[in-house]
Amino acid sequence: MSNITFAFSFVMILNVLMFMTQFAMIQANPDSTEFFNFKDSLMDNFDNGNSSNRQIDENTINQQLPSGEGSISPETGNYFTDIFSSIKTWIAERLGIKYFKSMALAPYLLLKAMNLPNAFCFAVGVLWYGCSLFVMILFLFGRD
Amino acid sequence: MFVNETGIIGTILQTGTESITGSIFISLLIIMIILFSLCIFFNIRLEFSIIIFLPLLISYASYYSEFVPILGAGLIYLTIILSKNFFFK
Repeated sequence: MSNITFAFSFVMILNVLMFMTQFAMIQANPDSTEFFNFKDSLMDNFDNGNSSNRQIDENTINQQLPSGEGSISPETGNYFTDIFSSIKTWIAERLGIKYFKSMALAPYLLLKAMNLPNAFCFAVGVLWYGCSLFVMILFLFGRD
Repeated sequence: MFVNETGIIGTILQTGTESITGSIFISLLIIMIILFSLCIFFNIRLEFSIIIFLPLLISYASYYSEFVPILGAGLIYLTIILSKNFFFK
């Protein structure tokens, strides 16, 4: 297993475990502490938006994988800048790059949500952020 | 949290809180540490003892928010075990 697969599966499994733990805690005591914010988590991308009843959004795969060409949105008026900007947005939205971004920040947000001391969250966040960025750069260059 | 004072654990909890620790959080933490030490003493692997500790920690954390960071640390450990051994071997 490569480092980036481990990092992504780590964040995803932690999200799922925390979601289930939060659900179990609320079942045991409805006034219990809420330490898991669903909207900031990676799981929110797979939800169909109905907050009362969580359901898998069946169109998630179609939305995340490339399904067709995009169109160039004229923003600056400069033809080349618009082409570059549109390609960059298309790749970021269609190839799951946003999962990488959320993966780098996820542990920091989770630790903050657990009301841990700020210095500890910052230190662990810096470690994770730096290491995951390094792993992502290695992954983009085809190395584990 | 409901405490059954007639049981062994209930009596230990009640007496321990009133006479020794003065805080129910520390009493519960001590009981958890004792159980944890027993698991280590009898060479029960942490992966198996999590069956006892996860429900215990969830029920503790649902009533006492002081247990949430301990539960978080447990979940992080469980995540490492799951992602290393069961997913993407």
